[in-house]
Amino acid sequence: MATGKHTDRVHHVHGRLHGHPHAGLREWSEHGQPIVELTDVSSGYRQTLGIEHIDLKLWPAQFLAVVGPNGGGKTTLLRTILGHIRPREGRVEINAAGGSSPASMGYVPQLEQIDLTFPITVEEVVLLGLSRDRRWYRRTGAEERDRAHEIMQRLNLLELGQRQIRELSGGQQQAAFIARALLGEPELILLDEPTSGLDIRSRDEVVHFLHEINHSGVAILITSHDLNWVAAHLPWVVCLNQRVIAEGDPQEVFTTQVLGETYKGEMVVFQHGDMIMVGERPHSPNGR
Amino acid sequence: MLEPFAYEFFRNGMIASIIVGAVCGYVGVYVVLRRMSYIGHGLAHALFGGAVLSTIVGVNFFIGAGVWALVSAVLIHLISHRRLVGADAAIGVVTTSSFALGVAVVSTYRKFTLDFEAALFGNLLGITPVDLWVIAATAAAVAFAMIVIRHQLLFSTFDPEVAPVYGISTGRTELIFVLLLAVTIVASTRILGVTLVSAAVVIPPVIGRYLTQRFQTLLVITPIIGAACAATGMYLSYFIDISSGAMIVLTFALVFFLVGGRRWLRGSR
Repeated sequence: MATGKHTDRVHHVHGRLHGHPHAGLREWSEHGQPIVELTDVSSGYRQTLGIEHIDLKLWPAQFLAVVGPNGGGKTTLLRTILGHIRPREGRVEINAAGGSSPASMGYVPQLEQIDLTFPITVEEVVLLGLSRDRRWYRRTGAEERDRAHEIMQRLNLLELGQRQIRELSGGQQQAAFIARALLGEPELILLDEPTSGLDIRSRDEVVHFLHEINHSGVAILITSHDLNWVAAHLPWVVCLNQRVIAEGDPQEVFTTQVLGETYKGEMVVFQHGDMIMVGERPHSPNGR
Repeated sequence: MLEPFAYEFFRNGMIASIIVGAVCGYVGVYVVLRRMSYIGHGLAHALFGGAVLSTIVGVNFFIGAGVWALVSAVLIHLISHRRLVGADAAIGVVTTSSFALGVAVVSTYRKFTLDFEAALFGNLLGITPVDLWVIAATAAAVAFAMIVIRHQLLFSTFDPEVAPVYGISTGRTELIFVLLLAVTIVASTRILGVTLVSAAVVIPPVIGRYLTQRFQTLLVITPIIGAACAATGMYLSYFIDISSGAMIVLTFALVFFLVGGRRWLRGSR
């Protein structure tokens, strides 16, 4: 297994955001207990194993991306961590920082999986994040609403609170679902392909929100197909194709060999200064 | 104008229609948003077997048909979640076999034809004061239960993928909802019959969606639309020689085409 995994106990990521407003030092520590720990986990639906023998640790305040091909097990991994799928083998441990209680998790699914024609306002979507505290129907309290407004303010959604969710741009819709996840005050947020189907401006909005959240100490795990977006903005990546092919800083991990093994095809990696670009080899007419 | 109200059967029928229109509309909001219209339609048809058998055996309609509907609802829920067959096919199997059982029994006991026509198309004359109380109590219980689980219903309807992360069991919520739908349909069958009752569940929420894009408003206006259309249809059926169930559904349809046509003319979705 190729790996670029650091041996340092504290990870510092400098100047990796290429002019992003949140560029600069970010760090997470491998001291103490990981917030998520998968030990030799195999998991999947029915007879099919989506992931096999996965060892993975996610530390408090870490920002980690999982990349891999369709059917490579990214969503299975997320659902196994969320507890939607029980692993066939291995152990999944979810820990709050410094304790053994389950960490509160927020989850942001792919936008494509949500019926965006549903008649619901942005504020109503965000307030669904209080659901852990309300088993039965009760009115939303003033304090809860203030907390929701505070989070919406952080994500530039306050002005849009009474708009229908379908009236927003893709980036704003993602922000609304991220705000819903934040309202539960999670220590970890899982996002399934948050940039899927978004234009370049919306992708920039999403990364802006995610870095802001990560800076406040929330661990983030995302899946993505967008290798260049991951290389440009994220400090740590796991290449997954049923098994972990490689893990580490995208600068070290995104090589022709690792990506070729992950995607089972020829990938081209360009290096320009500290920038990495991943491309496809053009199709030649004679098939070579 | 007020002549029909001089008759007790009409007053009972009018009150029952208003209650049925309102509760079907309220439950129907979730039916339409969860894209479960076919379950409402299927459950209503499945009910026919239970309605017929309860008449033959001599059991009270609400008890016989109610038990039958609840069993059908659980069967449909279980089969559609096994993923061995699609939900539509599962409903087709349960619905048509139950309906066919009813037809088979009817063809054997032809002397009950009038009662079975009432089961199929509803019968205004059949609403007794006891029926009225049963319909009112059922509607109140369904509305109360729907309000209590409103939060789970909203979350699991809008975003079933994420609801379990917040401790909401989408499967259990759907089962409770299908059972409430079954109870609502049983209570409404006296007025509309098994063939027409699904219109009361589906059409008012669709009209409501044309009029508002706000969920909270939809929950308020849809029962009002349902009750108003049902009352209007009931009233008109006294003067026009058309069965009350058919007239109520025709009123729903007329309002649907008027509101939908107005939106279409304005060029909005």
